[in-house]
Amino acid sequence: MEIPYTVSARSDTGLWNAKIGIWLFLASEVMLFGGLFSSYIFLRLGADYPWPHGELNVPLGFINTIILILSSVFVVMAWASLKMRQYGNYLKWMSAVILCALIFLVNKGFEYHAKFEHKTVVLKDRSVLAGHLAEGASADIRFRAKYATVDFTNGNHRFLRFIENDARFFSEKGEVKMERAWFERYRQANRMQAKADYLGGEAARLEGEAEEAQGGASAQELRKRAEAFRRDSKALADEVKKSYPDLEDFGGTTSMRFELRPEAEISVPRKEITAWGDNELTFKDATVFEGLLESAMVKLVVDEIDLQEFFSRSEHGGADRDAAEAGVFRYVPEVQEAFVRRREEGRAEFESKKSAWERKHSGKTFPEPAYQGYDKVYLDKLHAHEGGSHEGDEKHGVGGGADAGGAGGGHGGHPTVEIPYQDIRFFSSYTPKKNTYYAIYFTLTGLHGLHVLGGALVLSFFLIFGKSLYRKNPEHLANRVEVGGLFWHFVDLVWIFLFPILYLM
Amino acid sequence: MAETPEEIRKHIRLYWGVGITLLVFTVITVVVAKITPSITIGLLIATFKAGLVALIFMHLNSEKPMIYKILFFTAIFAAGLLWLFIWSLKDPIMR
Repeated sequence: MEIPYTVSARSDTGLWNAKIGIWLFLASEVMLFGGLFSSYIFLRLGADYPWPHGELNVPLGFINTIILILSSVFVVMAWASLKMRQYGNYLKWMSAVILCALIFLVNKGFEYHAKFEHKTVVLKDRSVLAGHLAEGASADIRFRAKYATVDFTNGNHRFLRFIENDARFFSEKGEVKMERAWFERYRQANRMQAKADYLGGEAARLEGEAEEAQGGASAQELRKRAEAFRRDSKALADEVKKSYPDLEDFGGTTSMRFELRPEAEISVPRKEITAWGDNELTFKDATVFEGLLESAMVKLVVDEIDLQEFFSRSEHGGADRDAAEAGVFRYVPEVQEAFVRRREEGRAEFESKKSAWERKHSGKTFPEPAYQGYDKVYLDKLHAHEGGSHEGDEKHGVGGGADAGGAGGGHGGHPTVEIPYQDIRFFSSYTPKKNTYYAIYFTLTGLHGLHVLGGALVLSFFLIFGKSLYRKNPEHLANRVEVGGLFWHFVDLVWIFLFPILYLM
Repeated sequence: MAETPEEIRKHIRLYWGVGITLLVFTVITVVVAKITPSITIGLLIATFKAGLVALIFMHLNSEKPMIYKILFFTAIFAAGLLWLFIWSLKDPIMR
């Protein structure tokens, strides 16, 4: 059956099917993104931390904006070419659109990757060091274990995957092969033994009741039932013994201590363990390793210092705190002086600007919020600043990391430091875990990125398989491209708002 | 809406003109953001750009009434969503 109104318009609405369809769809899309933009407003107004400014790569976002705008022009040109029956031009413009979409997505990939690699370390006093993990370093706990007390109750054997060498487990009876099947068998055996024990208990209870009944028919009946339980219990226990002869030794135990030969080298993310000390490491399944803690620290190549939260939390004295005493300077003492000086200059500049403005507009308060840019500094900028205004001064900053106790050398003014877990309040990549800004950033740009991908797939379909429809009815292909184009423009329109909101404001 | 090839040929200049305007205003957005942290100005520019895309690229400057009816309700509900936060700021006692 021929579907009506795919090309020509209905007389009452003046529209063909897909046209009204795409507008209804776009209406729902407006509501979808509207809800997320609304969330953005709530999150920003309710943020209990300084809303991040300038943390995204503006040049990359700018380039992506340009690319999307150009692709919007190209998709209109592709449609116009079809309307003018220039199929060759249509192919050219549509290819350009797809190319733009690909470039956009690749750029987005670079941007996301940079965020995943960037780490933030909030110290106990809420001063922040940001940067990258040193090459080859991980934030995992390293532990050398001589003994392990394995807990069998929940069959969790995840700890095995964090042992890096071929350490083997020995009980008093000899080696025990620690593998998944072993844990499963042990659990199975334990479950059967438990059932046998339960039946035995029931038998004993019934026997007791029979005793109290003191003869008679009911006592007889009870004894008979007890006997049956006893029989079943023994049968089960025998089966455990027969089916799992190798596990017999541990029957009934819920945990067992093993010696590890050679000593196990364990490297495990913090999230896998519940407790750790100098000589003990406890996994989430209650398995405990005894030995020596080798390291529990983050090795970070620092590129940024942020004291905004250090100053804004009133429970710690807030703005009255002494910048020079921030915990970060224990790790990067070489930049302390420059940071404090720059901060004071920044503050003075802001105050003078503010008072000048307020003198001019008598009675009004300065509209700009207390810009805290001087509490957050990229080391590159700090060094550039120092190099510019203090030429001829004693050599400062770069390379200073070498004589800072414990801190290794740096490169390009980025010192490498080792921050022990004890000193860390919070560790995160620049991902939704870091704060609500990154949560909404990834939600909005991720959803938008999926729209770019989806749009590009549909338009690619029109590009690759359009020829036969064009031969049959060029107007029909033009209509399809128009509808695909409407979606594409909508995706561009959303980005027009996303760029300033997330990157610039 | 432009339907005949001749009309479309005439519109092509307009499409490029809009494209260039959008590019120029993208530059302006970035420059303005460097000068002032004003959210209002940034949003005004973005709204202007979005308006151009909707009116010219999406042909909303000359659509059929049915589309406008659909979008009228969309606009009302979307505006409602974006104004929800006003209630979160309202405190009738402490003001």
